[in-house]
Amino acid sequence: MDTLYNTHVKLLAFDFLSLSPNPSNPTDPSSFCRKGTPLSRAESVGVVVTRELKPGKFLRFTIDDGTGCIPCVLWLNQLTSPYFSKRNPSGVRLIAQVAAKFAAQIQLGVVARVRGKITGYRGMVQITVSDVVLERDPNAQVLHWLDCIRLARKCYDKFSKNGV
Amino acid sequence: MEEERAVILTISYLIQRACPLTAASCSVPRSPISTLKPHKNPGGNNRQEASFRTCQNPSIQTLKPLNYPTFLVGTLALPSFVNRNSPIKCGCFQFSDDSATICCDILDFDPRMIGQKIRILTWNFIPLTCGNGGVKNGFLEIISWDFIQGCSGDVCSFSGFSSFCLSLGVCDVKDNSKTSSLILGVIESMSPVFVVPCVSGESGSRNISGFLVDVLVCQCKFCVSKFLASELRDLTAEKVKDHSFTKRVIVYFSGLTTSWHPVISRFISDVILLAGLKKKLVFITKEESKLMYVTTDEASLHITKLFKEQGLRHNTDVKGKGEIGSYTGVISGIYMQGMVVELDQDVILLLTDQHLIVPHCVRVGAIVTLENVHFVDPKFPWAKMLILGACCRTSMYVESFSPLETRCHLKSHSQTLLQKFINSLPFAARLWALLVVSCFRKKFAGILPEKVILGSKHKEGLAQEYASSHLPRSAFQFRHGVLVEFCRHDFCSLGKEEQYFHLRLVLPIANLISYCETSWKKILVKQENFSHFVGEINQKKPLSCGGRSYVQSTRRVLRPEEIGILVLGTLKTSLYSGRLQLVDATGGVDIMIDLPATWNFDKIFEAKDFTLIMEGIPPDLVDLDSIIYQPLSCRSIFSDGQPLRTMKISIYLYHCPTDDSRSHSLFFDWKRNSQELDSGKFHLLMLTHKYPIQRKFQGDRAKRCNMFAQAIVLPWDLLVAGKDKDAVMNMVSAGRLKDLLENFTRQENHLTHKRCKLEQALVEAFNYGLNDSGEGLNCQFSGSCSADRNSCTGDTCISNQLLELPCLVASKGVNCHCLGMLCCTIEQAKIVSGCILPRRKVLLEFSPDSFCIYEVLKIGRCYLVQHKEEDILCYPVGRVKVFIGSSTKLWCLTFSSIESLQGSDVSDALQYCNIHTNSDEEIPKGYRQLEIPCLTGNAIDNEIYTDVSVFVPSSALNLLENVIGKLDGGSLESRDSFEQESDIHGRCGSMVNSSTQSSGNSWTDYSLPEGNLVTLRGLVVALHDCSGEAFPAQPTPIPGEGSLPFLQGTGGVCVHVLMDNQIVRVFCDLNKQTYPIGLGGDVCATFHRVLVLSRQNKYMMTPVSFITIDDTSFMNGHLTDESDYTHGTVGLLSNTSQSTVPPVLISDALQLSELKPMQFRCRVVALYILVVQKATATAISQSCGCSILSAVEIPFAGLVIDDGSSSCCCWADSERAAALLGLESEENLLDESAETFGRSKAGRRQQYNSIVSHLDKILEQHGRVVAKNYGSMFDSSCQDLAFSVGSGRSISSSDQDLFRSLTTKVFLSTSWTIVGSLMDPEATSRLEQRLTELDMAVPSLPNVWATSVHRTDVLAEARNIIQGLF
Repeated sequence: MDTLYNTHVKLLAFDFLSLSPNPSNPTDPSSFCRKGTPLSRAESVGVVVTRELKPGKFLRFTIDDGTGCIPCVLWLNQLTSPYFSKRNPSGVRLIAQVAAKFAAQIQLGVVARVRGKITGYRGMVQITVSDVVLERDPNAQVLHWLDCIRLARKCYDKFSKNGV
Repeated sequence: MEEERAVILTISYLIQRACPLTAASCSVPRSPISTLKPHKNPGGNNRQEASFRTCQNPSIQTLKPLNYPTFLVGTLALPSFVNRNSPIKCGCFQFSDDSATICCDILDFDPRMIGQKIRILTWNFIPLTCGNGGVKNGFLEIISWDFIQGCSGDVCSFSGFSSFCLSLGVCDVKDNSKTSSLILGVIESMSPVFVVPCVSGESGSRNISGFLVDVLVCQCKFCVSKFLASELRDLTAEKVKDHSFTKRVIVYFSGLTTSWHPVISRFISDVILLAGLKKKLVFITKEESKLMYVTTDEASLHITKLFKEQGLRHNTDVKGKGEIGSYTGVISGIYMQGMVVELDQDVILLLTDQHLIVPHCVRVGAIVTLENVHFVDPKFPWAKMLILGACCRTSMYVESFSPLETRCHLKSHSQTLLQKFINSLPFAARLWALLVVSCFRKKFAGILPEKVILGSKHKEGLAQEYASSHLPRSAFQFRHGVLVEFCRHDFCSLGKEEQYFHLRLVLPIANLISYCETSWKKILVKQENFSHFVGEINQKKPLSCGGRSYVQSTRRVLRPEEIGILVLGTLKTSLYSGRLQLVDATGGVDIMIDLPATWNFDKIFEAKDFTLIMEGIPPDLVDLDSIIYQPLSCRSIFSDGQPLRTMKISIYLYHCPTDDSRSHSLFFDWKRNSQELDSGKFHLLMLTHKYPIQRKFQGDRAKRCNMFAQAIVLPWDLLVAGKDKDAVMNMVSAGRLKDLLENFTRQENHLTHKRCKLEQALVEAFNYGLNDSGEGLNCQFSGSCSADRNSCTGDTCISNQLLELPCLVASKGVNCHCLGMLCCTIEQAKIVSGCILPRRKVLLEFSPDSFCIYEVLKIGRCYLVQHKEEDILCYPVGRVKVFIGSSTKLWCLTFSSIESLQGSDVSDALQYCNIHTNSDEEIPKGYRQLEIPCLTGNAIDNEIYTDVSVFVPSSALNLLENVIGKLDGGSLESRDSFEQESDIHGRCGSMVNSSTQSSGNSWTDYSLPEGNLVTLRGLVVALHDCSGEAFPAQPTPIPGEGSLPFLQGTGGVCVHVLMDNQIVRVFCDLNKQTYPIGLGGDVCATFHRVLVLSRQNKYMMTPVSFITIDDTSFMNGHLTDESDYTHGTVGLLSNTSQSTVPPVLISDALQLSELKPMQFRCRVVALYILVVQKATATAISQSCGCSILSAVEIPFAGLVIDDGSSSCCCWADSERAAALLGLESEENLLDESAETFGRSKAGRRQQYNSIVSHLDKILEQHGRVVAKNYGSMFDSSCQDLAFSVGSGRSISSSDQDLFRSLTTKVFLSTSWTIVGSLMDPEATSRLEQRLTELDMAVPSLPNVWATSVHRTDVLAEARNIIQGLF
């Protein structure tokens, strides 16, 4: 089960939105449960349907994968955040650059594949984005759905059954 | 005390004993060898240390020491050039005691010892034999000595100034000496002693010996004043600095002062004072004169006390373009009678100049210093080296004598044509020519007489002929005497050397093989070094066949043009393997080559453009020691030793048919060697099968029986008229062809109803243009084939007619055509009606002396054989055997349409005849060369080699092809019981033709089962050793096959062949059959007459089976080097071959206990560790162009991958790692930035190149960069990379940034399909070891080694999942 904890689980939006905070570890803001299986990271593919940019702070957007909309946040405050202050400045600068590049890519209507941490915000579950890749192949979305279905059946449900 | 007991030896005793001795070790403790004047050799590397180590050749003994203390007592004297009675003719110092005089050299030379009685304490004695009479002599190397009496008083009139004075008589330098008689200067360079023939009026002619010295003099007011002498007497240390020596003057020492040569050579770059000189105008040629100082009888030489050595030469600006400098090194080898001296292993000193004086003490092991030597860095592709070119200004002296028992090399004084030739070349070409000479001597030793190879005084040898054919005319320079060359020193080439750097090394075959073996090992070691921790990745995955697994061999392909080598030899069929080999005196190597049928096997074959292929199973352990041996070094060519073949790998050459070396080689000229067809009658044969070598008596390989081949006699005979080109042209223009063509046309009308308009026009035009026919060509043929003109006028009834096709016949390499006629030997009606033609088969028998003919014949090609009286080929009935002796000539023949001759002379003639050709292509103006196009005929490819082309109108060509096609592979009559099979040459698709007959009856030697013989053609996928028992047995035994008695024992090969998308297996018992060289993976091969074993796609070679390799698979570059993909591949999309590996989820894979290859579809989450180092640019590695991979090598990388079910750490190297990192393509690297900044394509390319060059620079500086992620392993945005570098220095932040930004590409790809397997505990422990070396722990994740990486084919993947889900 722990193997799933650090894995980027592929969940369809309806499944993702039904995640609940991990009752066994309520202090960890990025620990969520799917049918009793603790999860912390997720991957999703869908069309960007909303986009709200606070330059130098964050980009908030939602992606619609056809089963629902997943709220996402992409932080852009690496250069000012104390969280990164102890890190190698050139490394942080690069992370900030990359994030800015991701933000530029996230435009309404594009099909994006995002990965990141599962976090809660105002009672809603969301993805705090680590990386973004634009999908140019229309089949990618289909493959993602099929992946989600297959993984849910063959992997996540199996874990949850064992876990429950 | 000891000294008193010491024995005084005499020189004559030493000479008589003639034994190399040293009296060094017993009397004085050996001091470490050190150079007296440490020169800074260019490059600054510590060459000497390395060479001391490598010099320790165990076969060379150190000099035998005398076990008791000894002295030699005698007098040191200058050489006498004037005294012709002197037994010694060289320019060495001479040491004489009461018994004899010998040459000597002194380590700590003191000029005062000249003429004095000295006692030699430590010395080496090297015996020599002088002259033609073999007079015993010797050479004394004086290591330490002392004066017996105190040094006798100076007679120098200048003793205040000079520490030593050398004069002919009494030294008398007057204070008021003329300035022209006095020189204070630095000796820059000096010439060797040379002799000038001099004609003087009274005494007739006599020779004057002498030498020239270049002295730099000072131009200050004292030096040019007449008070120089008195000024110098009062010289103080302060005033010394006021002199600056800049002006160059030449001093000519002649007459008695010539004997000062060895003394002056000790003082190069020292300040001397010369007195008693005279300024004279010396004619150096008839027209040119030069002002020089010439010595007089009062000349004296003074070595100054106050001036220190000037150290003129600084090697700092030496770039290896021929500049002059000095060099000190250890002699590690002397070759070619002392013309080539190897210093410090990789520095080659050329001492080819005739007049150069080489001290006797130049022996292997000695440390020598060269002054004024030319530095040339030849940049040959085949070896790194430095050439030191000695010229007339070069001087050489020994810093330390050799302690080894090595001999002196005496140069011969006569100069052969070859030496003159070599001396006329620039240094780089000179070394190359010397290598050619040495190589030729090795290659043709025992094959050609030495005189033929090396030439004589008046006749060029083969080596010289060859070398000069490879050099431009400008390479040869006229050599003047020393006098002229010394005065015009800029004559020594500067900057010209570059044009000879491309010269390719001619390699003896033994060296070629040893080179292959060394590079084979190097590759393995290279792979082992970096990939050891995953184990077995050097090898391909074991091949599973019949329930057993077999180790597969790996192939390496080298391109000799990249290495810069070529080989020569003769072509021979090996007595043992029956394979064609390129052979020289040093050995032989298998060769795949398409030879013309008329090839003369006595000729020397020069292989320029070939591919070197090595195939074998990598050993478990690589013997590293032998890698030190450099097979392409000058040493390996010059030295006598011959490398031995040590490895059991298959090495062969593939000679590309596109190569022009057969037409442009010194040894083979088409014009000289073409075998023209004589006029007369020829039969046409098509080869249908070749029977392999029959080994009737196993073990008795030397005894050879005849070879056989099968052919069909085509129903056409070729009649060839005269071969005079003009006659043909005249005939064409005179219209004499008309009758024949008319005849043909009429017949044609019946043969083909549909005819292309153009062709019609062509033939009509022919008729039109050739209307006024004369007697015609008919008379030139024998009466039997004359065309019956009258009967041709009839429209229908031609069925009893013999069909005759006029044609043009062209022989390759002969720029003329002859007229010919193809006469059909069967009734025309049969051809026209398309009825079944009789296959008139003949068996060709080859005696051992005509094996070469057998060798060049190719199945499926047509050959011409001259008609003889009562030729059996005229009436081949039943089983006919034709004996092919060594005198029988066969020509490979192809048919082609006459229209293809356009643009040639003939088409000019045709145009003259008002004929329009059917092509729109413009004929280049001035293109007059008759080009014979390669013909298609029924060949497999279009590049087939042909000796004779027969040009017929295209409609006739169709007819011919039809007929041949029918005979070749068409419907078959049921025939004799033996071998009926359909051949399939001419078709490119792989196929199996089941044939109709059984085998077995005729071959009582082997209890073969009954079964069909078929011909298979397909792509060889794999090949493995296999014992007979292991060959997959039949599930349903068929009669005679139950016990498979013929499939027993070891030594078999199982070949997996891909045909029509299925794999079939062919078993070959190597005890009974041979398989051709080149049979290996990725090669198209045809298996003629193999036995069908069962319906399980299994076949077996029989004693009649024959395998041919399709050259096209080599030519088209299918044959690739497997070093890179032996352990995996990288591709943009997953290919079908991957589908055999099951796709799994990582979480499922972790549950499996078996460590088999699996396919994961995943994304990269984070980088764990990345090792990047500078790509080693070897000729072996294939260049990737200007890509990132040409600059960077990734020994290994660890990346965390995640497929949604779980994550693991994926380990990969080289391209696979680069692909995962997103470095492999330009697009990928720049995709994002290009979008952001909207750069142009050119701009992107520039940016890409700058990334590559930046990386290159970093790696150049640091060698290796290791990036480790100390941050999160699961979050791409939380990576925390730390860098360490191989150089131990710190890596700059901008360099770090480059690596950081490169590693972010990891996350930019969507999905990878990775084939790999989980590491076993052993591999994990090796990984741990590697990581510990890099201060990293093994990640707490499952570890997977990636063998191949592909971009995911999204659609196919989605389909697969749907199938799995529902």
